[in-house]
Amino acid sequence: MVPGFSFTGSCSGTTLQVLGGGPVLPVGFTVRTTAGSLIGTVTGGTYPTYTVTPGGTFGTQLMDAGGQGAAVPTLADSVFFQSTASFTVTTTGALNCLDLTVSAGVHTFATGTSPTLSIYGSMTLVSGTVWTTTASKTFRATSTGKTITTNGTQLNGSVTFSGVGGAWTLGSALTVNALTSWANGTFSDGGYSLTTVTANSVVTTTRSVDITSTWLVTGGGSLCWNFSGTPGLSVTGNGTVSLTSASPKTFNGSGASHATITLNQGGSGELTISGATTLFNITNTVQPATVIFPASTTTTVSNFNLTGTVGSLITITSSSAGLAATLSKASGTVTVNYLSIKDSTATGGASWNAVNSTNVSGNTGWNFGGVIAAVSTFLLMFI
Amino acid sequence: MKIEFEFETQYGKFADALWFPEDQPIPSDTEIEAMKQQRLTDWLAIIEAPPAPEVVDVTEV
Repeated sequence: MVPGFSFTGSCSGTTLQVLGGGPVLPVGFTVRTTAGSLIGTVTGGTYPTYTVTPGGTFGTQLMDAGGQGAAVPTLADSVFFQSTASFTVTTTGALNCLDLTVSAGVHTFATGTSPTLSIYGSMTLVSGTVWTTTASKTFRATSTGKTITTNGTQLNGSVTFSGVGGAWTLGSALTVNALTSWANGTFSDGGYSLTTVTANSVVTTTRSVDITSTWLVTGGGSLCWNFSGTPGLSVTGNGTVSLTSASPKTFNGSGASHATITLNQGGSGELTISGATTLFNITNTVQPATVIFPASTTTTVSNFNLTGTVGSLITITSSSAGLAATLSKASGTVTVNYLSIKDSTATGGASWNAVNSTNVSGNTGWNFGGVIAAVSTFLLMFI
Repeated sequence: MKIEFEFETQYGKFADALWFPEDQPIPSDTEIEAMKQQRLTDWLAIIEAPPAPEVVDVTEV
């Protein structure tokens, strides 16, 4: 049994009336009652009145279009929801389509039984669409030029980009209340914000992720940003990845250089950088906060702009006490304020100055100066 | 019709777009500004009260 979309309708003879808004039914769709009684196959008509053959007589009730073994949309079929009325689309089973377009109405996509959704084209939602279904969504296009425009609709369920040779560009900000992952193809944010609970790219296939805006990763844990799959991964763009969780979280960008990307510590939970990582910049938008760098590993940066405030220091330390983590910047001068620094080796050719900062222990290459360091020196002399 | 907009926030820049179907009336400027603010409010709400992560098989595609 292959389920399809549910809607409310009424049937008399060979005339099927879609009620209360509902899907546009292509010729060939089989329509049944949700109890399983056959109504017929759509052979003509236009929304909301269709001809079905064979017909039957059914009162107003919930019907199932394209379900129960009948022709459901295939990867070659585009699905349009263009009724101005509101209705609920229940997603059940493994669903496929080419383009998925909602162009009118206020429709709710709800969870049925074990739904998954594979989209081989573009996805366009009109503002006001409600996407509560937890169906995992996999974009499987194998050609370029696909767009994803959610228009303010937050997507429940994970999102995966997985079409060899596919290319997707956002047409508006994208919010995924689950995991977003990249397995194949080329993805660009189009200059729009992307928000997700967790993000990963852990396979070894060819894929490219272009980050030109601000991406928020709101979840915590060790797989918060896991871009460790290598080879095959390319990360481009000059955007920012901000990890905003108040719980401990990990950034693993070891699968590809993030040399043009800014990593922002955007939540009070300590941020652990895992693996050898190359970044354009490291920043923070909260204080106090902690950034933990990998012990005995080099983190390479073009800029280093962690900044604390009076009484709210940014703590940087190593993942292993007593074993230094190395920060490397090729040239220029780094000047940080209000940091607490422990087990850190600053190197690479740049000058590393820590002003108003605390030299805890195990540091090499840092030039400590300013108020806090001066007070410490004075106290030592007094003792 | 597409209207792009962005806000600078304490969490960084929020960039989004409003799309309106060609065959439907365009909202007033006041309505459009309200829509922009609503998008921003929704975005900020996710940051400040994020959804719980779901358990998934991260290697399945």
